[in-house]
Amino acid sequence: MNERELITALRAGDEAAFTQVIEAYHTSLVRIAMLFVQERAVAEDVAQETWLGVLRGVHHFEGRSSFRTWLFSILANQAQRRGQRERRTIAFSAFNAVAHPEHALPTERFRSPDESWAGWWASPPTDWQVTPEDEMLSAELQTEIAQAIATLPTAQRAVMTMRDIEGWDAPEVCALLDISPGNQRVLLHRARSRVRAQLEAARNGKTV
Amino acid sequence: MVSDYLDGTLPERDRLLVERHLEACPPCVYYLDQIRGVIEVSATLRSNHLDADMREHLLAAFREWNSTAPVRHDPLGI
Repeated sequence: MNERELITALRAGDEAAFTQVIEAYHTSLVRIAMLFVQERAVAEDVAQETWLGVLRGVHHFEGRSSFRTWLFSILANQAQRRGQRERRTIAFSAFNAVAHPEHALPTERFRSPDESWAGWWASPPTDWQVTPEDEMLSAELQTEIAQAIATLPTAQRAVMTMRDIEGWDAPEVCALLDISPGNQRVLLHRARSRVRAQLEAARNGKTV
Repeated sequence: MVSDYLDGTLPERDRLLVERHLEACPPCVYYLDQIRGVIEVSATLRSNHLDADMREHLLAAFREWNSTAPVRHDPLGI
């Protein structure tokens, strides 16, 4: 079913079409809602309200954006509205706070400008793999990486969740979070680097 | 730079510079492989198993909407 057919079917009250979209998107709605609100139960509520918003709005949806973009913009609005009521959401401006410079890796990891081989690795990464070799290892890695993502600063967590877990492209992320392409790139890179650093620290038996 | 390289969005000239560097620098190869692994495993975290109760709950809301839906119009013209 293409998007037009999907919208037409939803408007016509086709339950199979609605089932298809809730199965495809409900867990993602909850996951993304968790970026804006603190509690799981509130995120579940926001996701449910989003579906009611879809049903209320589907007759007016003109197909200028993709269904997914429209769906998640409803979610963002619902989350904001919820936050104004409860004062517990994360302000959208939080996603734009990238003012202070931060290196993806500590500068001590590299040789200083006055040393020989300046800029090269001082303590180089060693050869450990993030490639899951069997199912057990894969489940462990998933847990480890999920935990590392959960501890990222808000904006980094939001961008990495949308790009690497949900698989969205950069313009979609910029649009939903209202951030610039440059900001999006920096946040994504910092997020991935921090997650890698946490895995490295766990393997070296040190904390970050 | 690293993310742009892995996402394939680096300009050709820079991509070649990165690749030339990688030939001479195993630690950077490890680093890139590790970041690449993080990205691959992250993609597997996207579970979309819809809880049966939630599914019924949402479908009930849909049926309710369906039974009270107002006169339909069609801005897409389909």
